[in-house]
Amino acid sequence: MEERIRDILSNVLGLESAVIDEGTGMDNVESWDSLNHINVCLGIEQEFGISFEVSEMEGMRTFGDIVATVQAKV
Amino acid sequence: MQADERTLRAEILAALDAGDLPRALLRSDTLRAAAPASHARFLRRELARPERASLPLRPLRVALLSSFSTEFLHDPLCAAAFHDGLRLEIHQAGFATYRQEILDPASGLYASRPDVVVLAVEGRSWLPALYSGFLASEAAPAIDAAAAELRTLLETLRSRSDATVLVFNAAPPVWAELGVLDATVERGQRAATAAWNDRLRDACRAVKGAYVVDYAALVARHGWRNWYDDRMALYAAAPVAAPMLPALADELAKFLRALAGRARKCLVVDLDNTLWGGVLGEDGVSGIRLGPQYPGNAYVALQEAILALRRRGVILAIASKNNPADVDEVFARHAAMVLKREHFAAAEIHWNPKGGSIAAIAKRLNIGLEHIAFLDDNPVECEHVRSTFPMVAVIQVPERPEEAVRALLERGLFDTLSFSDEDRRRGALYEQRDAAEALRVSSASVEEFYGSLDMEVLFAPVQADNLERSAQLTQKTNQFNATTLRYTEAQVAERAADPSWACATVRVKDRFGDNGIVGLSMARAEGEDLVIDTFLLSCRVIGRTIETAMLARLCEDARRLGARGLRGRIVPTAKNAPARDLYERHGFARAAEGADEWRLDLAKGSIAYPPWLRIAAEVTV
Repeated sequence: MEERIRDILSNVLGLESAVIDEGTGMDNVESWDSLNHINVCLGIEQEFGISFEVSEMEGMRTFGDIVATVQAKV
Repeated sequence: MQADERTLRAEILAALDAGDLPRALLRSDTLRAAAPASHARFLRRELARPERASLPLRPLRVALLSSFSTEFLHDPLCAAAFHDGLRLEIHQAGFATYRQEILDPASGLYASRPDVVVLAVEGRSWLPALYSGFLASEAAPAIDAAAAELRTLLETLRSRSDATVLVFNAAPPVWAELGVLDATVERGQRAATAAWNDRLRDACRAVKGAYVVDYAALVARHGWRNWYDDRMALYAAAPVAAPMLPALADELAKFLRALAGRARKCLVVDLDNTLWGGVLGEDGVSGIRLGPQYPGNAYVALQEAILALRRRGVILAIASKNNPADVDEVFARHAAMVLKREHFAAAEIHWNPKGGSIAAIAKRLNIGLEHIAFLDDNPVECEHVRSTFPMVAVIQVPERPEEAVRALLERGLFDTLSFSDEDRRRGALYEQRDAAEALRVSSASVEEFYGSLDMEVLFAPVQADNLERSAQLTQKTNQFNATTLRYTEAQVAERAADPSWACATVRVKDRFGDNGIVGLSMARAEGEDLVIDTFLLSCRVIGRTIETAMLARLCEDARRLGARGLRGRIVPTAKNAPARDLYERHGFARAAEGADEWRLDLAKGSIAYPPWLRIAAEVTV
């Protein structure tokens, strides 16, 4: 699962998969702006067939946050 | 990511690196079917890399003006356009700034010099009163006001840009305030939306080069529950659900494809398990499934859809591995055949590979492979054709015959905005001419007028890419036409290929735009003269001294071919008065008393290019 999330992040944000770790997030990746954050969230929804609440989307600010949130939903 | 998705991406990258566009498209098609969202993102990012700039894609500048967040549309739109050989450059206007962008002459919209402007404005934005707090009595004046606003915006846009304009119509409100009664009352909410859409269509029709995107039908086709994401509508002004974005992009891509002249003109069909169920060679004429009962009726439905394409102007052909006599028998004897043998312009019925059949059909009908679509149920045949000719659009008939019509039509491969490329631009051209007329009034002298037009004249030899237009010109031009000889494409091609002929097309650009190919001359070396067989000019550019440039060019041709004179004749018709004095006013002498034959002795005189024209040779891309 982490691998699939990593791939979406890398694809949306234009990052190398290998550089993405727990703490990679909106505060330290320039391309991770609010627009791309939505792209990330929608991409993950489609990939895992889940639907986030807006509060969940707003709560996920790092790769670690996303993994934890998705884990709780699938 | 699935392993095969990873492999496909690697293959696309390798093909792009090698500049092998057809192969990249082939793999990209597969990836798109498997994972549309990530495919679009991946492709757009890859195409944006500077080293990809040299790929042979046609650039198209698209401006997106919208009432909602259309940023999410960029990836799927670029990906869809890539599959039509287009590289999109998108100008994204700020959120809901479409009015300012159009009204401000210094806006980013005009600075982006768009080829296409998309006005993705929802009904709610034009007419909030139709969507909430609906009052039947106020609908009509509100619609009037919005129609006036739209008209002004379109006219302003048209006066500043010759871009094609695509205007979304309005999807009706999901929940009508009167509930079930809305459809019955005299002036319901959804009826008001329909009335607005009528006015929107009229406003688009009043402006050249504006088209309605039937957003209401698109939403209906996919269904409200699938189409809208209320959460994202409220949170990010992005009402269209993410899984629906490719469908919206594909709908726009149909217009872009048609504009780029990439619509398919010919459909090549397989027979067994495509036009009917079963295998003719095994089941026999009476055993194939075709008729009023399922599954035969599914094949009847497909044949009806194909016949409708033919009525629309699509050329039909057959590529089938079959015994020709059996096929003849089906056409002659099977009562449920909707399609008749005479509906097909070509047929390749034998046991040789279908790639060769398609090539033969293309040659026979003189249609480029990029204008051919191929319909077949057999995945092996489909793959064979795809890999042999990646430019052919392959439509695989789904396993369930009832899904065949949808497969044939949903990509809009045959959709056109007019009948030919030149027809498409005619609207804009008439406008350009009107503007040129207006300019003429304000110019002091005619030379000044010619100069102010900033005209560029481009000559090109008659060749494959302008053959269709050349033949069309001989067939359609009535006024400025010296001999009014009508030629087919094949006849023009034959003359163009003959070294004793000098054939040239003439394209004219001016400050109002590109008029396209508007003139043609064909002349043949005969004895010691070059004899003009065809000399014509579209009425769009009559009276601009283009004919003088064409004669100057013919003088050059004559000298190059070693001719001593240039000869031409006028064949008077009821309509060609504008061409009658062509030779006389350019210093030709009457070749014989009383005859309408003229000769220019090149030893004594010549014809110069008018100084206000910039003359260039067409560069073939």
